[in-house]
Parts: sequence; C-alpha cells; structure tokens
Amino acid sequence: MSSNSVAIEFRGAGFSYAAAKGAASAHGVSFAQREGECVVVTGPSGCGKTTLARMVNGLIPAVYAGTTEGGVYVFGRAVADWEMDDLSCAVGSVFQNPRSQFFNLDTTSEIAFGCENMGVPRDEIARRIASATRALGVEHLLERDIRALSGGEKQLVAVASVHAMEPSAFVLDEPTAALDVRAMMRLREAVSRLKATGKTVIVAEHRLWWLRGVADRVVLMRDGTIVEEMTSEEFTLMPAEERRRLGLRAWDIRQVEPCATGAACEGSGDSARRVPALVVRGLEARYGRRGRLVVDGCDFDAEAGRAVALVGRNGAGKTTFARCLAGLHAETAGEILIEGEALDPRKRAGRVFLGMQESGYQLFSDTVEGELRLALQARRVREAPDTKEGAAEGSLESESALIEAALERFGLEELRGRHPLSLSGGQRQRLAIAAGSLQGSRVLVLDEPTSGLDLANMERIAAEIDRLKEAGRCIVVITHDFEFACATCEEIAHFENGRIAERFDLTPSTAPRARVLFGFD
Amino acid sequence: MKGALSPRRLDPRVSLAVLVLINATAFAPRLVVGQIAMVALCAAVTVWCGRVASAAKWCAAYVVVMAAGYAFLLFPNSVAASFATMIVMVRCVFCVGMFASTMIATTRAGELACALQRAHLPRHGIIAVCTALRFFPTMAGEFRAVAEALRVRGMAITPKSVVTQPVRTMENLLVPVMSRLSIVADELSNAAIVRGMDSARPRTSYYDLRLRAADIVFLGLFATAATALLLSKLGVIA
Repeated sequence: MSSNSVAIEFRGAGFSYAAAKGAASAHGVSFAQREGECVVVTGPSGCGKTTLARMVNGLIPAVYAGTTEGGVYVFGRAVADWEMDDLSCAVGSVFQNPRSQFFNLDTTSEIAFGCENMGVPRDEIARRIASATRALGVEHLLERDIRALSGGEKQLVAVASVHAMEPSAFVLDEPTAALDVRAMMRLREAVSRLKATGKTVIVAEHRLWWLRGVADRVVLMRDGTIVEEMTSEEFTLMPAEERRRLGLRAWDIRQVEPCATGAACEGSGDSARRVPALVVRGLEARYGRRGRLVVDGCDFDAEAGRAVALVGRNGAGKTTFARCLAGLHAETAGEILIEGEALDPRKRAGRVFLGMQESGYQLFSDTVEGELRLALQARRVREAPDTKEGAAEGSLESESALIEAALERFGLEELRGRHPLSLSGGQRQRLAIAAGSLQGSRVLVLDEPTSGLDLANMERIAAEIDRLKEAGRCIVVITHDFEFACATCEEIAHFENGRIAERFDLTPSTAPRARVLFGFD
Repeated sequence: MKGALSPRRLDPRVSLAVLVLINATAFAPRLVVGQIAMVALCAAVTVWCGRVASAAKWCAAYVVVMAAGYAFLLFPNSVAASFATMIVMVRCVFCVGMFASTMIATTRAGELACALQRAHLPRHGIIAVCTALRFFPTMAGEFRAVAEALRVRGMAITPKSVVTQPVRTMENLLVPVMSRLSIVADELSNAAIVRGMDSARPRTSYYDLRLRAADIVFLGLFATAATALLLSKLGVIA
C-alpha cells in the first residue's frame, strides 16, 4: 500500500438519528484522509463529531438506527459493504469513558479479549499482546487489576487492547475527557507511536493542545457539517480570537494566560483580610484503618470570594483531601474549621459541598426546579433540625423567590421543567453547582468540573463560579484544565506528598510555574 | 505494587466444582465440625491465593455468627428463637459467600471463558457469565458513589430516613444508580461490538488451562468434607 492512498473517505455523507435523544446528526460531510495521517475533528458540543466517528467504525448503522446520506469509504470499500468483524479488525475504536469499555478485571485478559473474540490462535494472541504493549510502551501495565489503574493508564490499556487486533486505522472519540495533563502527554506519545508505524488515526476531540505536533490536519465542524479543513500549520497561524469565536479550546497552551487578576484584587484590595472561610490545621487521613497516610500534616486556608485551584499528580491525595473537606472521609488527626467553627466530618457533610466529576450522581429530583427545591429543604433541615417539614409555611413564598433567583442567576430558566438526567454534561454540572450554592454551603469543592466540556460550557462554568465568588462563597477547584484555571482561579495550591507544598497567586508572571505544576513540559 | 493480581489462583473449573459442592451441602448443618471444616478449607484457599486479610475478616465474621447463635440459645423465648433461626440460615450460606468472594476476586475472566468454552457453552452464555464477574464490583461502586452524593447534598441516608421516608430514600438511591447503569450498559455494548463480541468466528482463548497439584488437593479436600456432611445428613454417620 502506498502511503498516499486514501484510508477514510466521506462523500457527501450524513446521518440523522431515528431516536430524538442521542448525538447530533451530520450532513453533507466530504473529506478524505490519507493512510498514515492523523486528523483531528473538532468543534463545539453537538457539532456532530461523535457521529462522524461512529460512521467510520461502523456503529452507524450497526447500532444506531436512522437515515443515511452519501457514503463513507474505509480503505476503498463502503462501510455498508464491510462485514462488522472485518471492519472492527481494520478500524480500532477507543471511547471517551475509560470505565465503560472494559470486559475483564485484569489487563492481560482485556488486551487478549478482542483477539479471542475474533478467533485468533493462542500463540498469535501472545505475540500480539507482547507487540502491542511494546509498541505503546506499556509493558508495565500487564498483569494488573484494571480497577486499580488511573484513568490515564486505563485509557492506554484500551488503546493497547485495540492495537492487539492489529487495525490499520484508529478512531479515538474524545479519549482525554477523563485524563489529566500527564496522562494526555502519554496518550500523545502513544498516538505518535501509532503514526510512526504507519497507522491512520482520526481523533474527535474538544481539548486540542495535546495534538499539536502530532496531528497533520484539523477539521472544524459546526451544526453537523464541516466548516473548515486546514493543515496543522495553518491552524497554528489562526489568531486566538478567531479560534475562540469558533468555540474551540486552546491549541498552544503557552498562549493561555490568567485573566482573573482583576477580580482577585477587588476582593482583597482593602487589605483588611477577613476570617478565612475554610481553615485546615494539621490534617491527616489514611486509606483504610492502617493504610498509608494520604493526607499528612496538611495546613490550608481559603478565603471567601476567591477560587483556589488545587493541582498535583494523580495519587498525590487531592481527592482524599477534598473528600475530607466534604466530610466523606474521616481524618485521623487535625481539624477543619468552617467560618471559624471546628466541625467533625458528619457535620461537614452538606456544609461543604463537593461537586463530583460525574454530576449525574448528585441529582435526585425529576425537574431542574425540583432539584433546587431539594437543596433548600436540605438547608432548612440542617439549620432547624427540630421543625417539622411544612412548619415553615411562611417561608414558602420566599423559597419560591430564592429558586427563581437561582434559576436566573445560573441561566437555568429555560431548563426549569427538564429532567436533570436529560441535560447535557455541562448543564448537569451547572445545576449541581447551583444546588450546592442554594443548600447554603459556604465552601464549594469542585472535582474536575470541566472534564469533557467544550469552550462555551467551560466558560459558562467559570462564569457561574465568578457569581459564587461575588456571593461570598469560598471555592476550591481540583482541576487539570489549565484554560479553566486561568479563566476563574486567583490562586494555585500545589498538593504533594499529602500536603500543600507550594501556593501562589495566579498571574501572568506566575503562569509559567503554574504550567509546570499542571504537568506541561 | 498497587493493583497487582493474586499470585496464585484455583483453576476456574475447580472453583466452579467447589462452589457446586458447597451449595449442595449448605443445608446439611447437623455436623458442626463438618461446617467448621468447610470454613477452614475456604480460609485455606483464600490464604493460598495471597488474600490473608480477607481470610482473617471472614473467619472473624464466622466466629461472631457462631457466638451469636449460641448466645441466643441461652434465652429460650420465641423472639430469641426467631433470631436463632436466622443465624442458622446465615451459617448455612456462609461458606457460599466466603468462597464466592475469593473466586470473584481471583479468577481471571479470560480463564473462566476458556473453561466454559471447553465445556461447549454457547458464546453468548460465556460472555454473559464473564461480564457478570465485572458487574458486581461495578454495581457496588455505583451505589457507594450515590450514597456519598446524598451526604454531600445534605440528604444522607440514616436509619431515621430509612424508617420515616423509605420510599423517598429508595428512590434517591435507585434512580441515579439505574440511570448510570443504563448509560454504562450503552457504552459497554458499543465497546463490545467493535471488539468482536458478536463475531461469527469460533472463539479462541489466550489461556491454556491445566490442572495443577494444588487444584487437585483442594478439590479432594472439599469433596471429602462435602461427602462427610452429606453422609451425616443421610444419617450414615452421626
């Protein structure tokens, strides 16, 4: 096969889903990808890039019913003419969520799984497991319990298990949604290794910086169709404003600068510093009763009206620290004060809100409005535990007013009647944060609130956090999203070896140091 | 190393056979010694698999159950009797739980699939069994996450909330778990299709199963204990 022959080609291709629910449709898509080329398909949420990916790996039409137009050709043959088995062996697929693409509990069985299904002989499977892990540099991940791996390691195992089926092309659908910067770097390394061995790679993605230097071309989509197609050199020359106008995330992370300096100065300009909303003294916490110390003598404080980004390596103990703050994990020593009052873990639950990465877990009502009402109820029960529900009749009117105000403030008015689980990821995240605010939590700890979000949704979350700061809430954000931290956080706290190792205001002059702590370079 | 797999494990065919033996003799508790022998054997397997802490926990739990059983006998009234009956039930199924937990924790899905393939089970049956192994830990994780989310929202599940608002509590717990599981199921089925789960080609296996000495020894010991229990149930031995 010559390196210039076409691997994947769309000819006026389109698809609209029969079910109203599902991904956005695509129409009139035409473009061709050469063998050995790496192409990024990007665009705002709902632009149809996942649909494009499904048209290549055959999930459309194998799984999704709907109407197709035009044709998609993989290695010269229409997708409709491929047997699903053969297509799966020719085009490997890696999906967004590392948790929901595994069928085994150990890595070796998982990497062998696709080959076993395809009837590959035993000796050949052993050879392929060895070659796939060598090609991707993940030999150390063999013979492990998958559940104990980090998100990044899981994603590399997913790539390896697809690699073992020896496809010539790879389709990656938002592979970094759950990954931190270091894991994205490793995935970049894996993708460039694939390219080096002549594999064709197509990536549907929001976060773009990790593909810089690996991708050959960038395809921009909007409303289900391709609006622009350019080489990565051309994309590099695109001005930042133009990129943002198209709703795209940063391509060059060095150009991302903190913009929150103004708000930070306003808050603390009077130099008469208020009592910190959150004070942590000598906190210690461990895994299990006799496990190792994950949080070890940690001191930390955070002021109302400011947002602190908590950064650090995977496994440094950030999540355990956050769980301690929210009262989900009991400390073995030290104390945590909320607005000057030392509270034990049980009392902290509800007073400190923890925004979970998977916000779908946190929503319990059947409407958006009802969700906020639940939050107010929780607040009332906490503040006056002895009064019966309904005893506060007089406050019902003010309750409705509070809900109205929150709906307006967080831009959720149009969604008021929707079921929380029918919302998009970004909307769910915003609703969870609004509920946390309404339940009266003075401290909100948010764990990766922007994972898997496009530029517009990330900016909406940042705006919501800005409003919480104005309302005097104290915000701690665990994040690996540098663009997001720059949009909303005034401070960076580096969590390492179970304590805060370093802390500074995030300004243009400290941005290079912050980049290092996030894991760049 | 974090996430290291068990150093040793029973052949999945032996595990299945032992599970059948334990189930067959679960309700033959006349011979307390026999039942204790079964628990001891399960503990031995667990320790041999390198899961010492788990073995210790299960043994401690068994001691508690035994002690509770005898304690209720000291109070001969009807309330105590109903509790004592419950304890007897727990004792009967104790070994099933103990052995199954070790089996789920140590068996490789790939090996189990290989064993079932050799037994000529249909393809879909095999994959269903293997995915079920993965399902239980996933399900437990989902429930834990939702229970924590409730605490964060100030709606923690407490004994009081279970009694005063049982329906609301169940709804709060089940609705998010079910919706999560349905999303996971959709994503898993997509991943299954592109990994050739529905392929018409005959399935192969990376693992090559061979019975080892330890497999035969444990199987022999379990079979002996099971035989003794069955004979005691039939009244052959007292």
